[in-house]
Amino acid sequence: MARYSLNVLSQTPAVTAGGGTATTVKYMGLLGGTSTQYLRVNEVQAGGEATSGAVIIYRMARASTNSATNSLSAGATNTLMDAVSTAPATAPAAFNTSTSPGVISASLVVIRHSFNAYGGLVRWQARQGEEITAYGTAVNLGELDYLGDTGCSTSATISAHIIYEAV
Amino acid sequence: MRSHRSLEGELTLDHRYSPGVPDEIAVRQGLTPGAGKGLFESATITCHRCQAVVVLNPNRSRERAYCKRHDHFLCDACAVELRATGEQCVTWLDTIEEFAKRLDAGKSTADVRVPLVDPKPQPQPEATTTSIIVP
Repeated sequence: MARYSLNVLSQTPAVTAGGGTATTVKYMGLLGGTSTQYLRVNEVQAGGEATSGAVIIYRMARASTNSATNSLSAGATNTLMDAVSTAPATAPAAFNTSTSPGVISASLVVIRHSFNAYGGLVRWQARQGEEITAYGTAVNLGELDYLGDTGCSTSATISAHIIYEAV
Repeated sequence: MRSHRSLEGELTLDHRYSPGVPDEIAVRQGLTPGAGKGLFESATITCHRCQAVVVLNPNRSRERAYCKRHDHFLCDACAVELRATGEQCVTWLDTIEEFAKRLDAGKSTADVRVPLVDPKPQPQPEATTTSIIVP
């Protein structure tokens, strides 16, 4: 087992309605590295960096079409948290950039919250065994995306992290 | 013996140094009025059928849907669907296990049901695939 932290720095949100396609460099995504890799999301945190009031509405949802050719933009990182952990043979795909971003499921939303990017932050932590999970690379099961929902400000920037475990 | 509190996660919204979020927006996200102001901390549960995270409202008087079979809470959407269809509860882990078994056996995974996506699956022709087709 390997625990990772996926981080993005000063990312500008985009609004993606349910059933819409995510916008590259404006979302965070996790996808199994193999068809049987199991991911468990332990924590999601986002904090705003706006200089005036801007309401951010973010949600984590499954993808009905997975993102393809994924990578991390400059400043975004995906790092093993435990210094002595060994990465799995095939690392999970953790990304915020994609040549073909995923299509976000309208119904499979697992968490949604709002906060003010002017000094506000939000954090969700799962109890052990109660994590949000993704499995493999199948659509509706394999990919989890964290991104702006209808009504989200698109002018403010936020920094965020997702702590997850690859099993 | 496990307590129900041991299943709870935690949501923190910190607007102590921020103008916060208006009630009409916070309530739309499933939060209680006032949750978007100051420091808001609340327990959450993860629906064991669809994995939706539900922020618990301490003022709720309606019963919270609960699955005795699996000793876990359900979100309202799953509870409504189960009551409407009269089906037995299938956990998210069961869904994944079923998917993995079929994948291992080289069988079709097309009719493995993902809760709240395809409530009425149609029979699919046997074929090896790694995706779920939503009708």
